[in-house]
Amino acid sequence: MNLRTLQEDYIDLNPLQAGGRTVAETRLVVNSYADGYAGYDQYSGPFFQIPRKETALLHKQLNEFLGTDEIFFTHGVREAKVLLFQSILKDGDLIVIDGNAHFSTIAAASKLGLEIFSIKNSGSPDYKIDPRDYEAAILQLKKEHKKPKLLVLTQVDGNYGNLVDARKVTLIAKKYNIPLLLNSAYLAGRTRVNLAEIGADFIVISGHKSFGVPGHIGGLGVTQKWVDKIQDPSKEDKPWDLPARYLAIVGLYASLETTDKRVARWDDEVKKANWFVEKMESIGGIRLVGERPKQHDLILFDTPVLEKIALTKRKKGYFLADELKKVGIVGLRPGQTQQIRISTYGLTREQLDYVYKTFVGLVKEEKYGI
Amino acid sequence: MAKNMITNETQTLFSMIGILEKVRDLFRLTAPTHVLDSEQKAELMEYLDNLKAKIQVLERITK
Repeated sequence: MNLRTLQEDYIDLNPLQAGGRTVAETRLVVNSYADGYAGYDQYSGPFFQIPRKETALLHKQLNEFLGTDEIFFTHGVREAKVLLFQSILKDGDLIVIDGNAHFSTIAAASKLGLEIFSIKNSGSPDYKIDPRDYEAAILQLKKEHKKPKLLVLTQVDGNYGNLVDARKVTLIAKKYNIPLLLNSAYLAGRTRVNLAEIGADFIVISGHKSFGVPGHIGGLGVTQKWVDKIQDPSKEDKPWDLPARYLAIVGLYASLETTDKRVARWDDEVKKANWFVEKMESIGGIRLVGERPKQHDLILFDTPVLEKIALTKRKKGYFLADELKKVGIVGLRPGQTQQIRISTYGLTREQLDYVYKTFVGLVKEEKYGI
Repeated sequence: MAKNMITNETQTLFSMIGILEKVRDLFRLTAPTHVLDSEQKAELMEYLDNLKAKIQVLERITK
């Protein structure tokens, strides 16, 4: 099997991978636990049961970071949502979600047979979610004699990278006495997100999306009021597909040691994203889709200029990813030129300038034949 | 997690892996050209010097 050198020899713009990039300290610890069953050196128990004494410090550190009273580790965010839904809801219950929600929110709700009411985004060009629409949705449903059992807010969506003010949605949730879940997969870990300060009831997080953790691990953080209602996925009699496995837990443990450093640079990450948007738009025929200014590193561009170039190429839309790879840039979906979705997270300004100049070159070549 | 015994040689070995991972981070920050600025060059030199010193520790095992 070949070694993976995408991060060492290429600039990786893939928005899905940006927040999962590990640092040296994490890789060193995980490397030392790379043997099968390595996590069970001082323990013999059921394969999927996480020994609590081994993870007590991790629970403490993460609860402090997230402002939660208890955290349940799962395989990923989808499983964290399934865990919550199956713990507090039943088949046919109604939930309100935002129109920018990740498909896994819908998949998790569908798995449990929940009814979904989706709040629309503002449409082109911002596609924003207005927190006030949660109240409008509750009132509309009330007229139909329905009351949602849970509100779900995607703090930052994976499509436009729009950030929604969770505090405003929390006020509405409290006013109508409906619990609120924050999907913080793309935010917590990049920056500090504190459930206690926000005042919501639940938060789901992703180690591999935003904490720089190798492998898959998600978490469901809850406030004290809900602790006893959540079915602990590490218990022997619970489904096999929910709990996190040990190596991912080791990775999360290790990554928390550098989380302070990581979150300290968040303001600069956001500034860098806006700087890059400005540069790319200056090329012409490239325009930001989503809120402006950016409050996050996930960026979606409309790129009609690239689509026009693609029509002249033998490879059509595939020319772009091919041309970029030749000069050491990866992470764009092959074949796509109408829009490109990228992340600037963790990349240096020098690297982003290199990306910008590469796009300038591609557009100029088409325009002037140089 | 509970601490295990660690020999000087193993400590040195993991320390070297840790340094190499730091070098790997430098590669990541300078991809795809790996052209380093003066600060990064000094950082890399320090890593390489540390590695050389640690190699000497491991070489003792061969004597």
